[in-house]
Amino acid sequence: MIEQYDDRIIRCPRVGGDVNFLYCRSENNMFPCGWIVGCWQNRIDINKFLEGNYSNEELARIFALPRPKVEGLLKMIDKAKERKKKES
Amino acid sequence: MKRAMFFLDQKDMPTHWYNIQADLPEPLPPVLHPGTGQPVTPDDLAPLFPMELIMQEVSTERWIEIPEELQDVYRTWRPTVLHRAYRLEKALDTPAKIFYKYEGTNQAGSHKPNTATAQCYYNMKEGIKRLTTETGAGQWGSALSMAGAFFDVEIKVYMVRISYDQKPYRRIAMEVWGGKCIPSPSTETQAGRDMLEKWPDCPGSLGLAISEAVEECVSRDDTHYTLGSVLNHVLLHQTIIGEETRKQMEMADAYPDIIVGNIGGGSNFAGQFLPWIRDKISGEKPDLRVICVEPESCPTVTRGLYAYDFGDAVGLTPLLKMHTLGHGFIPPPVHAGGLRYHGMAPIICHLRELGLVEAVATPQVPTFEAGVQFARTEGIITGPEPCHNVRVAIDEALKCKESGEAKTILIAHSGHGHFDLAAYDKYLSGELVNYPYPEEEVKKAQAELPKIPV
Repeated sequence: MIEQYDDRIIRCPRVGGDVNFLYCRSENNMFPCGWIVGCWQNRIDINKFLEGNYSNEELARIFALPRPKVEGLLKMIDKAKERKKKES
Repeated sequence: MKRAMFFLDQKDMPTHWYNIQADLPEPLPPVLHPGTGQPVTPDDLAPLFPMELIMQEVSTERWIEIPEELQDVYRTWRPTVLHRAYRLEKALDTPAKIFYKYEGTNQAGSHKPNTATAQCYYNMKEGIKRLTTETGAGQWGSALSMAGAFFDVEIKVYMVRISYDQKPYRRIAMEVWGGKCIPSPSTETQAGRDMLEKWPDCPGSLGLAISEAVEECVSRDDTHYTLGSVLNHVLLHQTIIGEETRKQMEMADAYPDIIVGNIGGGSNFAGQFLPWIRDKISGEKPDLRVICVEPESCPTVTRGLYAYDFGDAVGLTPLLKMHTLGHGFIPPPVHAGGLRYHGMAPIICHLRELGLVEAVATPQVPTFEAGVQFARTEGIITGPEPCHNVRVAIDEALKCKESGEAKTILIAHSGHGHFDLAAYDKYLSGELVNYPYPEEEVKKAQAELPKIPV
């Protein structure tokens, strides 16, 4: 059951405050945060949770390396420009 | 009389930021555009930032003048005080001399206004009337809102919804300064609307909040975007901290043997140590130790490797050189997925790679234990992040007790934890537990790092 750990709480160093497991498993555009294993592995059976709820393709996407800031920003600029173009 | 505070007169406040890029033994690796594979140009970043900041991002000039109008704003809280932690030293019974430069005394309670005001100033000069940004816990959003009030620039902050709900005081502070703070996802951008349609109760994420802030920025001609950490120009603006400290340590007739600071995006600590590390680079102080501290649960610099890496599934996208565990690192079955770069400043990664800075990770229980000891001796309730470097400073001071050495330890203290008392509450009630990272998993992951010719 994907919701089984949703109410458990952890401090997220990225957000700078408490978050629940629901947040951690949906932080990455409704998929788990790339840090989920490191943060949760000693609290719950996180490997079993991930293997039981996501396909190999999804896991590959979840654990693809995060983009460095500048590159991410450049991609967002392109995306926002496309949206603006469509709207106009 | 024992002097516990070292005040720098306002007339002696540094008038220039220090740019480490002038003194690096090897230049920073170029940032490559994901679309073209070519080095990023100023024009690529122009939709987000004013040209002056973009030029600072790539500048190799050693000293960059702080504009007078901005100096006047800095003087509403700077110079900040350098403290000698006599009471902590006594409690530890150590011969070490512990100093800390405390950035929590400004109006917003952290080091963030050093760059928030600078970014607002340069945008205002370029005729920009509005700035967007994202914030997690709200520290950056608060600092920028205050800066907007100083320079008459409208501020719009997308705050990750889960924090927005948990930390209403941060939102209220932003609004008092005139900033507009809205929870992300919002209905104000397409990115936000798309998410809300899929999931109306979405708690948000930093990535989504950035997308919203960038989308709004790009969709309006009068708006730019701001970032509170990681980028070179952000670290540059923070160097006023270290430049002040150099003068104050001289007043104290001391020079640090060890400088300790916590790293998230790296901006406060870099602001403190970059002005010192030039002495190490020049060979004048070869034994100076600079220790970056991070949480043991998220060991990005202590455990990661530094290599070119690919961000996409098929390995076509060249990226920045960063600490990472590599593109091949998709754990089957899933192991150690948390071990990777997550937003560290390229300058800090580079200095680590050159062997000029050390990195250590601290577990969370001893970290808060140090925070409580600091509060009970020096009186300051330290923010959860700087508690990490207080921990390491205490450990180094205790080593001095054993060896009998009277080393000088300087702590970069980024701010107070008045909005984070819930974390202390958990420590005091015994709810916090240590979660160390298995070394075996780290080695396994590092062995999979691809060899990329540079």
